[in-house]
Amino acid sequence: MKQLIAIVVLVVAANAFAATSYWWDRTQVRSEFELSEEQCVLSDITRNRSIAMLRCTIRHTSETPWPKRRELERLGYAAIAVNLGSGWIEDFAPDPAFLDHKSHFIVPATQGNGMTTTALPPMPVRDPTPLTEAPPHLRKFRAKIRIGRLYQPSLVRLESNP
Amino acid sequence: MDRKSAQERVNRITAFMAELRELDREGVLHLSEEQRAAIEFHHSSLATALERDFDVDTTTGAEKLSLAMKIASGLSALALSLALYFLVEQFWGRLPLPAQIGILAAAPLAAVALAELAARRERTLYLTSVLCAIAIAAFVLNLSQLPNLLSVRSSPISLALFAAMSLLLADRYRLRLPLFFGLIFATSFVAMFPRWIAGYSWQNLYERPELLILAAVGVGLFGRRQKPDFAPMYRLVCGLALLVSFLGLATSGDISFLTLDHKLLEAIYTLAGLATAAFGIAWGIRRDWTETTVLASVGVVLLLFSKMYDWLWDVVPPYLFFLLIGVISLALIAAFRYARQRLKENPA
Repeated sequence: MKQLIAIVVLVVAANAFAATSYWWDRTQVRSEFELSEEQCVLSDITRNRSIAMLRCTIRHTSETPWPKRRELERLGYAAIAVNLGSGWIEDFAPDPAFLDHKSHFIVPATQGNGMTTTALPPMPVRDPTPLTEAPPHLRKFRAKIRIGRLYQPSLVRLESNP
Repeated sequence: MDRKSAQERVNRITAFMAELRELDREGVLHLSEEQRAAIEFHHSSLATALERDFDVDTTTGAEKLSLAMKIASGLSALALSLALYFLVEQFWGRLPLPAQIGILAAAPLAAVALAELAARRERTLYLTSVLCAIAIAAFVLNLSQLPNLLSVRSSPISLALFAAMSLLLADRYRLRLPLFFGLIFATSFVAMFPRWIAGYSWQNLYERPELLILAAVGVGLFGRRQKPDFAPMYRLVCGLALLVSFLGLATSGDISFLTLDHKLLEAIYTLAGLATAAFGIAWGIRRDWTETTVLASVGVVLLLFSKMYDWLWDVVPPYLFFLLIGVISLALIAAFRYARQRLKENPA
């Protein structure tokens, strides 16, 4: 019987840890980037994709030291906040169908970062609102994105795409 | 006594009775009717008791059906796991996030509960084995979907969790299928965890396979302390991990941790792999470990042929290449025949 108890504890603990971590990250991202609830919902959907992209790139630069990898993942959140807050990157806006199918992530093909994702048709743009200037609370993340330039070509692409 | 030992006893009884009849027919040994009846009564009672207690097969037909049931169990475990996966794929997007998490977490627990119920009702544990495999698959699906749903960073720790669950199930029901999965997960975890800690990409098991060699040695050492029903599986996984590591290092020296010349490393690991395989064959024969002997023999063949491909495919014409392979195969057969003859002469 002790094996069964251990299995139950194992499964519950793994899922509880993931859910708690998710809630903590979401709270942090929302407060740090001053996102509205709606933006945060979008962030939940899109940040997975961004982190997946970061991971792809990190895999290609496997010599990246551990602290830098953590920083890169953090930059993933920053990139999304910039995206959602400013509307800079139109092709990062989620398509409405995307909202209903969270598990089916559409990864746009990104040039120059060594990724091997399949090129997909352009995603429908959801309410693109190009911004001429990033809001003040997002400026600091520009600097961080520049730090990530050496390691994260896709972030450079994000920044350079008006 | 466990089911395996009981089945071996029944098999020995069947063989003994057949040989007794043969000796009688050839006029070598004639038992009196009383003696024959006493032996038959004893064996019959014993077989009935073993069949009742361990559900062993007492006839050849039943044994063949048991084999068919084992194959069907494996196939149904695979099919049901795939069905679960594709069910999730098809309807997943329509469910709210809490429902998704709830289903993912509940699935392995439900499968374990069903396995427990099945284990209390059957002695052969075929259905239990299938349900354990489904529970493991559901847990793998659970943890592999969490990074997508909750932005959890994937890490080799999930492999340790898979291993823990598989080994707990194996220990609970004394089943070898969950044990095999558990050892594979545990070996992969041991090989990947140091890479992850050091900040390297951990997903590719085939980079720096020296860690896999260490993991294989660890599994082999743990296997020495196991009971006879589990020990062969430890040796099997140990042998598989060693085979994969040496094959990789012998053919691509650039994946090694060592910074020596690639060609030199390949030569070193080829020799080390062949020496390990030769040791495995000798040790397997000495200890009567069938799986070790077979796996080590396969290792020798694969290592030799892969190196021959590396060395000769671009240098000699195809007919010569295959001719050389044929000649080496004949040499291996001669070597194995010599070893077999020596074994017959000195069985100890």
